[in-house]
Amino acid sequence: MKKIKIIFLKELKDMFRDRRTMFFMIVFPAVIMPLMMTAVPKLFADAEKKEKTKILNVEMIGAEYASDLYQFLQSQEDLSVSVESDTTGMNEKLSDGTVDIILFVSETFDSDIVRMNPTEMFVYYDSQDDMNITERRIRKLLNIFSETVIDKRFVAMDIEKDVLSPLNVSYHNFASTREIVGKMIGGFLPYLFVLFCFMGAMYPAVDLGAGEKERGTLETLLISPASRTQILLGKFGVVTLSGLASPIFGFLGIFVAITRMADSTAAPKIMEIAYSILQPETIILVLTLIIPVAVFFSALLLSLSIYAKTFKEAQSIIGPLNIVFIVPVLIGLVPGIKLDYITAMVPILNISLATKEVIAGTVNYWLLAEVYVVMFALAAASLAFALRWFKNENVIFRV
Amino acid sequence: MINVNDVSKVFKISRKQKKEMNLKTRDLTAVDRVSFVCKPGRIFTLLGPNGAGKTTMLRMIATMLDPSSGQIEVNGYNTVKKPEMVRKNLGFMSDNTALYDRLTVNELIQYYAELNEMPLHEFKKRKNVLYDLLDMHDFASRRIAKLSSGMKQKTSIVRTMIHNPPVVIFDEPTSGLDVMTSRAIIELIRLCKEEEKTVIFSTHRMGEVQLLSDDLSIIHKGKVFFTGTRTEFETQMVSDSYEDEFIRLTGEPS
Repeated sequence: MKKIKIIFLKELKDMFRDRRTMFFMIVFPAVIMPLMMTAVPKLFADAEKKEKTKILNVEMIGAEYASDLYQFLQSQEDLSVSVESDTTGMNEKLSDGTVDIILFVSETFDSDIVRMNPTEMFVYYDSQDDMNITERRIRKLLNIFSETVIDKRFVAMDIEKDVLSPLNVSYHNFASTREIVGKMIGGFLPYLFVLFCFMGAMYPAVDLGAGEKERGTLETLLISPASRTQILLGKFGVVTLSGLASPIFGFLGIFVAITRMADSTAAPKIMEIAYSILQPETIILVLTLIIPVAVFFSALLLSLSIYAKTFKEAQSIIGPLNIVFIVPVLIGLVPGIKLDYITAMVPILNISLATKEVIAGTVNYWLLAEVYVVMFALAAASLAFALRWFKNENVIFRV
Repeated sequence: MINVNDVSKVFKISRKQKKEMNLKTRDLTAVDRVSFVCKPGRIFTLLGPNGAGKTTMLRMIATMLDPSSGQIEVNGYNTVKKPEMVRKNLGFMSDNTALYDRLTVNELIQYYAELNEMPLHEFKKRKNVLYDLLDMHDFASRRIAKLSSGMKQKTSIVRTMIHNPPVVIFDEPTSGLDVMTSRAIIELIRLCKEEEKTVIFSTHRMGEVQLLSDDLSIIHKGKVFFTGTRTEFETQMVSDSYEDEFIRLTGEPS
């Protein structure tokens, strides 16, 4: 035990002096990810806001046949309506952005309205990168106009408008806000955790296995009186710690980002839910779910890393593996896939589903126990494999 | 004391390697029924060209590889049954035993002393003796990455000798070193002999044999062609030089 501690502490010191590992373990999850999470949606929101409030240039062809509509559109503050007689140059105007919308009204527009006939009109626009906001804005205005025409027709026909809505339904969702939001972000969090856990364990694993082999320091360690088991456990401890540290720092980073975002955008309701989720017992439960994942990843990654001859070879083996573990997490995001006795047996997927349930506060403790049993058994098996693997001279001195 | 008794080592090679090396089977015999004894206070040399099986032999003595057949004992401990005890009695230095760049010299030496379970006062005393001997106090707190190759070599020596092992193994200790550093290593090997340690070193340089060896084995393609004292070797010599004698014994055309 003492030698494991000596090796562990030395590897830890070594790791703390390696900037690359520290970056992927702490800086990336704690700073870059939350930054991306808050900056990207803000960028989207800003762009959307801009599209929603900018003045739309509307060109109307046949305005003289639709005087009410023309007047209605002209009265809108965020529209600038011009009248045109024909469609020449329509494509160019739309694609170069001088005109946002072209409305084409048939000659019988006004008379059709009066006669209570349906009338035809065409809306042309070029919506490539505005998230369809142009279309939604004009559709909304045309609906409002349509409503006013309908209202007038009801009056003319002396009918109460209520006749058309026989059901007066009020809907109540029994799921609490925490359950709804929890299931939503609860799917997203395990995705981040598994990813961070993998990334956090990956660099030290590659460095302490293949990296040591490549630099020639592994042989120096192998001829010390420490046994192979002690050496592997010392290294394994550091890799696991790093695999745990990354999601924890990521969690902290996201938490700070949410709090700061809430301050600026004043969304007290979101904060209320966030705080209701961030109860100590929830956090502890989620963290205990990551422990077996970290153990499993560390043992697996160290085994692969020790097999590889060089840093580069190790990275090329381990890199694609990332996707293999993301797939079960993504399956956990599919609606309708729930934690049950069967899904609780599927590694990683069970973590994804259990985290979701824990955050939503709806977890079944029997199923949670099953997840722990499955994951800790897997972790123990992978560690046992790594220990055997490390004693195999064909692996360590692979040629 | 090292006792190598009828030791063989067979490596399983891949199909690709089999093709490349033009072999009939996938078994590659790196060491073939080798026996020798290294005694305390004497320097034993494993002489052979590159690829002779010297490194494999030394790695088996150092418990990094297990023999496919035969036994090795180091100071009475079997390398397969008591590998930790063997390593405790051993200092091993080679091209492949590099140092951790991100540690300082002091940290590194302390790390290996701790792994050897040295008591603190004994470690400090021993460290000072070795630092004095190799004139290392000036760079003891610098990171290994910042050291010159000569300084690194000295650090490697201290790493090997810190726990005062009764048996010392040097695998091609002077290959790739400049004259000054080579001489320091040769001095170290002599010092080990004076301290009554068992010393074994491998080399492909005949000159080093003349300079240092008490006993030697000539190894080529995994097989031993001569084992005995240097005097015995010189008496049985038919050729004029060590080189010619080596070629004569191994039956290689010159």
